[in-house]
Amino acid sequence: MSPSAVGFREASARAVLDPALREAIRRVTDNLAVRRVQVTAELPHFDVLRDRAKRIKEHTLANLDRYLEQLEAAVRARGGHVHWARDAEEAAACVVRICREAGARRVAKSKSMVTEEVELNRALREAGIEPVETDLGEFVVQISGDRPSHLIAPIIHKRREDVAELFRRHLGTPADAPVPVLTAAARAHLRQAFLQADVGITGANFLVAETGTVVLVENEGNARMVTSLPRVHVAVAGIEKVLPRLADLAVFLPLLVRSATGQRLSAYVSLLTGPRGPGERDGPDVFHLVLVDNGRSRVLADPELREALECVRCSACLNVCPVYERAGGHAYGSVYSGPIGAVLTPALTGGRGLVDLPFASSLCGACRDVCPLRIDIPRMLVALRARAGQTAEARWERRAARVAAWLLCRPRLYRWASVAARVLEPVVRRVPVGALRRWARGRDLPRLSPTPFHRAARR
Amino acid sequence: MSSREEILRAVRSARPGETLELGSPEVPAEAAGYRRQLQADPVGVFVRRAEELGVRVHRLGDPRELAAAVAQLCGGRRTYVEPALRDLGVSLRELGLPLVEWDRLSEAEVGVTGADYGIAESATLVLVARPDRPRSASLLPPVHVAVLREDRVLADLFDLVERLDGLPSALVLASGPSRSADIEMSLAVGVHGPGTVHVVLLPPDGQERRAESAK
Amino acid sequence: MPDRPHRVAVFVTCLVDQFAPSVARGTLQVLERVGLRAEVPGGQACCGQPLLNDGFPDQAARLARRWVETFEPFDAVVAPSGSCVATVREFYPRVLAGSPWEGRARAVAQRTYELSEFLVRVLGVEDVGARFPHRVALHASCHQLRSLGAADCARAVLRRVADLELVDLAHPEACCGFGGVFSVKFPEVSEAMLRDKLQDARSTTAEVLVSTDLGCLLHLAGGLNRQGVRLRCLHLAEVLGGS
Repeated sequence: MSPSAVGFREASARAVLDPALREAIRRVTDNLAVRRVQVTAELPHFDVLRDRAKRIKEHTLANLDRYLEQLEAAVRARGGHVHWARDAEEAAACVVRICREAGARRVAKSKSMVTEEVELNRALREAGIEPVETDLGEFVVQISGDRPSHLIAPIIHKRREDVAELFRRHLGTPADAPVPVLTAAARAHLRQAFLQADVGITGANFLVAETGTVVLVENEGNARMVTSLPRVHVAVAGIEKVLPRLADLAVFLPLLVRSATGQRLSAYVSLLTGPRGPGERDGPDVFHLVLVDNGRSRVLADPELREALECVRCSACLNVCPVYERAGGHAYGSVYSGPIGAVLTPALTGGRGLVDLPFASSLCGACRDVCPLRIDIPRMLVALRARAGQTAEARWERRAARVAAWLLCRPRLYRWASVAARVLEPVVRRVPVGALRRWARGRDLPRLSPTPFHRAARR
Repeated sequence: MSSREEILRAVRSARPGETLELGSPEVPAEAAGYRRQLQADPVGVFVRRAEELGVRVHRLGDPRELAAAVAQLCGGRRTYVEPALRDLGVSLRELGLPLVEWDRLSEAEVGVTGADYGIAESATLVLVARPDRPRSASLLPPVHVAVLREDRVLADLFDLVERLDGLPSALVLASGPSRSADIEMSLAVGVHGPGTVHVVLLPPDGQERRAESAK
Repeated sequence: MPDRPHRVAVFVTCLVDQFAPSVARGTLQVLERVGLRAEVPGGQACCGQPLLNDGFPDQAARLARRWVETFEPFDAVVAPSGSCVATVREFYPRVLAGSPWEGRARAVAQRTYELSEFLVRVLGVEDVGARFPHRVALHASCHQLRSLGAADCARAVLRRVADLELVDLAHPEACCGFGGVFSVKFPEVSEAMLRDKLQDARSTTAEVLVSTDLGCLLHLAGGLNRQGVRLRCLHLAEVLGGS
């Protein structure tokens, strides 16, 4: 994940001043949030599915080595190849090597967060291989040199006018074209990419250990394209994507899709097992699965944070988060944004964003409510805050906390401190510093009551 | 130590000695009432929900009407018919429909395929990749015509996974036309896959029924 | 419904102690009116939530131990704060895990309640004989709503206040933006959330905005002046306690 130069505070402060951005985000998140409510209410057993899914995930993560081995054996039994990548560099290098050995010059990609996490496109370009993003939103991100700002709706921050102008420049569409025209232009342009690509690269929503199956959930059809037309298919996936059995899809697919887009099922769900079968006219000749660790085994070993590995990337948490709504996805400075991003980024990287991301939340808990896996994001944010509290940057706050605790445990000192605070109050109010100043820029400072309750009670 | 060994070792040591039970994959009891509704009239549910997705459904009373019905949907456009429906292809050619061969698939405006199953709950077509059912036929042409026998319509995914015995190289669950809402949440249909989907429902084998065509 | 508790303690909370003693008085008055003689054990100060949320659980644990010791002699503990009660229930067992204090914390947490939660779910009382002739909108704090699941309790007791007209916010479940340390670490976003909450309140016919949590109230009240919103902010205990 490429480092972000600007911290969350600065980025969010700017975003808050941009009503167009806020409106653009809200239009999407409100829509998705409402649809999620409607379509999950349709299933009286939805909460039972959530319980089931949680149990399946907990069991799988507790036995992940076994399932990874089973997955590998099943993939190989169907003629596929399995590669293991410890970190981002290895993952990217592995895919580049596969492409080189296939003599690929052009590769077509469908949307995959993990390939962004390991910065695959940059590695491919450096190797002289041109990757084309075929997911409409990711295509726009690519040609605009931008970064995605939402887990499943990458250009949530762009207006139609922006896209129209981009397409005018890159695809020659008329100025200010309406959405159907833009879409048709993208379809025609990317159709060529599909037909000419030597290698198709995808992520995986799920990996089924029992059968060696890659599951791809999409609406556009580009994942089907890149796994049907090019002669090589490379699926890149984090090791936590494993599910034990095919039957588990009957639990996870409804949970994922209904929570993500409010559909009963996405337009296309592909269950891909190995390369094309004998006699088949299309489909890849060769299938490669690249399993990526990149910090996941470290998170697995962390009792406080391992729950984050249960995430199925539905983005329901983003769509209800009041902070995400106002700060936008870019403020998180990472591929993974929103509430789960605030946990995953420091967790997977061993500390990136630790000093601000876990604090960029009012801990309202809306995310935990809507998460299909009931992941307790606020709990993990507080746990991450405790780790931030141990860093060098936090040493003054740490000292202040120690003094505050010491004082609050001693009633007499607390009473004296209350007196002192009232003596100092006029001064502090006139020249507020630090936290008080940050409060006071937009809010009146509350006044201490002349007599604290404990004083009145003692009388 | 290889990357594989290192990762497996890291994963193994991350959770020493913990065993949680996986639990049964069977349908939860709490879903019984909901599923009964689907199972009572899977075809009816399928048709309604397909139409919600913008899919045009055509129920044939007599399987002999198939060629004429499909010909009408193809409307004289260049059509690719998958090998599994060879007989249908022959009839369509006799009706004067311009058919294209596999190597000219990219010129086809309509792709005609069968569907292995339907799923009522999500109005889904289940498409199994086989030598006589290529993946691209239901993907490349802008119009997809799917022929499905009514008695192959299942209630939901639980039913489907129960029936799957081994997996093909590709099994696609297709629910409605290709779509995207990436640009300002404005729904665009037919982004990469077909923008128009027709489902022609055949009566269960050996039966005839009065035809009910969708609008 | 458990038996009516014999010895009830009130945990005043640090914010109430320092900024709004009337909330504590209101709490005591309400409890007295429903026939309970509540005590305010000395030596109490803070539940430790700010320290916990700022990333110092060890320091919060010191306060937690003191809190448990102070309140465990009582049959029930009542606090005019959803967030403090949520801290005791959710976080005390965690920060004290692995020590004998964990069990003690769990035990007292089970008998610790937010005021309206205590009235409705423990005493079975919704009408506390209060009168407040104004139009009121309720902002149930996120902890009240989600951690305690007791926003309905606050609503229930407000509805039974004589001459009080309860109106609904358009987005009652939306966070006000306080979030403790969040309000001063990311003030811009915090203020943006505050603006929307006040805008929501302003668009109703409410004259008074009532909350179960003083932190939210101080944050909301702080914005009223700056945004020219003519609303009063009051704590639930002040509405219920005043007669």
